[in-house]
Amino acid sequence: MKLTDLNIQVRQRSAWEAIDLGFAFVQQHWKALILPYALLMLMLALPIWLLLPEAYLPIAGLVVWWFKPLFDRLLLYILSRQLFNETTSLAEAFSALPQLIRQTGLLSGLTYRRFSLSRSYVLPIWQLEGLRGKPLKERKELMYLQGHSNAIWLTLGCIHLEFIVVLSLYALILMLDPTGAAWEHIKSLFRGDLDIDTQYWRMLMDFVFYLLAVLVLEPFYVAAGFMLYINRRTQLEAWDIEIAFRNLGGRLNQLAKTSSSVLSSLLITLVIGSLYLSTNTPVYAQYYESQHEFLAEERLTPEQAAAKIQEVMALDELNKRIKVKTWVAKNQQESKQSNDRISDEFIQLFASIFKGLLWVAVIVAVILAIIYRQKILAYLSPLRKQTNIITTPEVLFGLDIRPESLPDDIAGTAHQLWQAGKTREALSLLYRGALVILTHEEGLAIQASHTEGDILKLAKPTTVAERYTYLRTLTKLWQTIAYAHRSPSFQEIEPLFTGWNQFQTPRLDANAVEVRT
Amino acid sequence: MNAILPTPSLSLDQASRLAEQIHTEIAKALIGQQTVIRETLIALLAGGHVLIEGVPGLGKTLLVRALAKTITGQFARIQFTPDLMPADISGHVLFDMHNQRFDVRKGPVFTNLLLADEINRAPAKTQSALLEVMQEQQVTIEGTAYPVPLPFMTLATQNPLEQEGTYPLPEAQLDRFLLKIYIDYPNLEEEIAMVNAVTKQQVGDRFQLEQLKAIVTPEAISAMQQVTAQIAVDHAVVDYAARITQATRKGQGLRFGAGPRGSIALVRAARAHALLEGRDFVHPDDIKQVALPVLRHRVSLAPEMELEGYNTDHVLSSVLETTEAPRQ
Repeated sequence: MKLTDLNIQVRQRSAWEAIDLGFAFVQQHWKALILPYALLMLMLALPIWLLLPEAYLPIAGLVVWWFKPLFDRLLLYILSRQLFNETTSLAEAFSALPQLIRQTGLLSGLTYRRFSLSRSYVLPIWQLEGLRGKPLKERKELMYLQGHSNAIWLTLGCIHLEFIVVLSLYALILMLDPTGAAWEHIKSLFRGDLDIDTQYWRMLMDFVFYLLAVLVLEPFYVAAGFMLYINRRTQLEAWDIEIAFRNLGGRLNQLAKTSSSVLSSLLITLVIGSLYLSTNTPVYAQYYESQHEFLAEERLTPEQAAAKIQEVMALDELNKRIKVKTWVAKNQQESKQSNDRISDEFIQLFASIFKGLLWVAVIVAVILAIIYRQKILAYLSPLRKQTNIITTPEVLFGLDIRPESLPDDIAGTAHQLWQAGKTREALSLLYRGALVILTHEEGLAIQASHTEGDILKLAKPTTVAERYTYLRTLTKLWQTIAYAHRSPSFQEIEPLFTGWNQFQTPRLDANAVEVRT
Repeated sequence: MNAILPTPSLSLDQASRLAEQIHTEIAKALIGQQTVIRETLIALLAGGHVLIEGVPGLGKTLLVRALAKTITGQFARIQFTPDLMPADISGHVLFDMHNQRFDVRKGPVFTNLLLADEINRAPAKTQSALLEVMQEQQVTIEGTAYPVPLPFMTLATQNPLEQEGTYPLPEAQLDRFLLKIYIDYPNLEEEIAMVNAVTKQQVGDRFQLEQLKAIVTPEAISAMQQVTAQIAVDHAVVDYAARITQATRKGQGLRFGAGPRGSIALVRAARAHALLEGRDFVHPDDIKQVALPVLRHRVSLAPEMELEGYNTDHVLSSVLETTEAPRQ
């Protein structure tokens, strides 16, 4: 298929113009579309209506709605061929159907992409370009840069148009129904008290009305989305410029071919022209003839005409008088009450309508919540972090800080290590013991990224002063041996051995002592 | 040349006390910006340069002038403008008609403390002339290299607002600054103290720097830098600094992380931090304390994080929270 075969004028259009073009395109090619599309819809709708149990008949319309992507594919197949002046027969359309079902992403279209608001805009990428995976994603990103919001508005507009068509059909029935049964039915739709006897036929009426609405509007929807797509491609790939150049090239080639025979052509043109002028009536003469007044063959004199008019005016049909009898309420008060009752019904009806709209809003909110769940979860993540239970680490700074890894007498063991010349091990043991107390008793949330200074900062607001002072001295000596490789003197380390028992005294006791004093 | 003068030798305590005195003296002029003063001193002790960023009127210039006042050295200021040429910074050669010879006119970079005000207002060519001096500590004029007097420190300022018509420093050149310091608004008490200090029995709205005393000579600063350079750094601490820098390259939210110069700068700045604390060794907290000013200008924020309102400090803080502290 060549760009020059396109039967629309390819030029840069605004997105709204493109949608309008889609509508015009359907109006021009509806004959090619309607038969295969209506047949497919009937093939689907009829089994649905016949096979569904009676209790589930109200959802028949929903099932048809759900299968709209299937109709879209057939419509797009026909429309895309019409665009290149290829008419699709009924047989061709149905023979292409298995391929359309298998190779156009119908499964995803009927499941997780069913709620896509830009369905008609994306469909050509799936169906006509046949892209999948990363190329599809990249293509969609490129296409979405422009026209995506218009496609969404198109979908929303078409949804509303469907409602309008259905309501218009109800209005038509209301106008033609003298019994008032249709009005009762419409009211009962909102009140939810369907009459059992006529329920089946009323549901059938709803179903048929919905089918008619879909039958009328879906081709417009698909075509508008398709034209949005074509317009975007025109923008991206400069189709209009390409076509202009091709036409220019063709014209120049034609000129080159015909230049040699210009003289002979001119001669022939002159001869034919002179013959034509000599044998034909001038155009203005034809015009003059067509403006001639038409006169009846029988002409009446003014007197005869007046008599004829009098005769006609005397006919019974023009002088007939009819008396009409009708009931008029004797008591005005009762009539007013009757009016009040009707207004109550209206209030009830409107309340039911708003109730329905609220339910629709709730459903839309749930759908949006599902679509934007990632963002909502991201908003909630700080809250979740706060509620996380702080787990006590088992290893910090390479030190095992499980309580069971420590000896019973920490200070005594550390002192022995010090006497054995193992200063680093002695301080390591004391620091390890301090960390165990801080994490298990004080409940400090110490993480792997916390340095010794961070732990001091964490401990300061929650630890009693004596314990904090001990911890600060211990940390300082630990840092000196760990990072400066310098052993402390006995005077420096000795208070750590003697003060350990007081340090490891449970904090609750310390508080209790403070209270007693 | 100052560089060849014998420098007095100082002990760690002396150097630390001198630094503390300089801090106290500057704090008299720059009220309430303790972190800024501390970070500037870190850069001075580590022999680095600083880039100070803040909105106008927060005392960026005052900080540098106060620092210059406490050191009995030379101080020069260059106001960067779009028409500033490289020769206006480095100097040039002029033909002396009278003596029939070429004279070298040294530019304002030949000083101990250089204030490059609004560095992003000059084009890249001029910026790179200054950044070359910062890196090489010498200026080449007509093929001859002239060393700048030591200690040499550049304090460049830039304004985060009014970005129209500015020339943002390229990442490669930002790397030359040891620290990037943010200067923020003072709180209420600090602002009241500042107003009292500036309006007390004086005409005009400028702080009278004459009240500040000179504390050290340039030679003493060089000696303090020597002491800083000798502060011990354990292998585990170097490893920690390198791991933080590496983590910025892998961390989410950053377009690119810091290079190896980031690790070097972390250790240099951590040494100066340890000296300010009066310690002769560096521990991991020093690294953590200086990590933000050292790294914030060496990394680039991913566009999506920028759009969501995050800045480099947010991302670097999360990098620090996920990098394990040294294991001893």
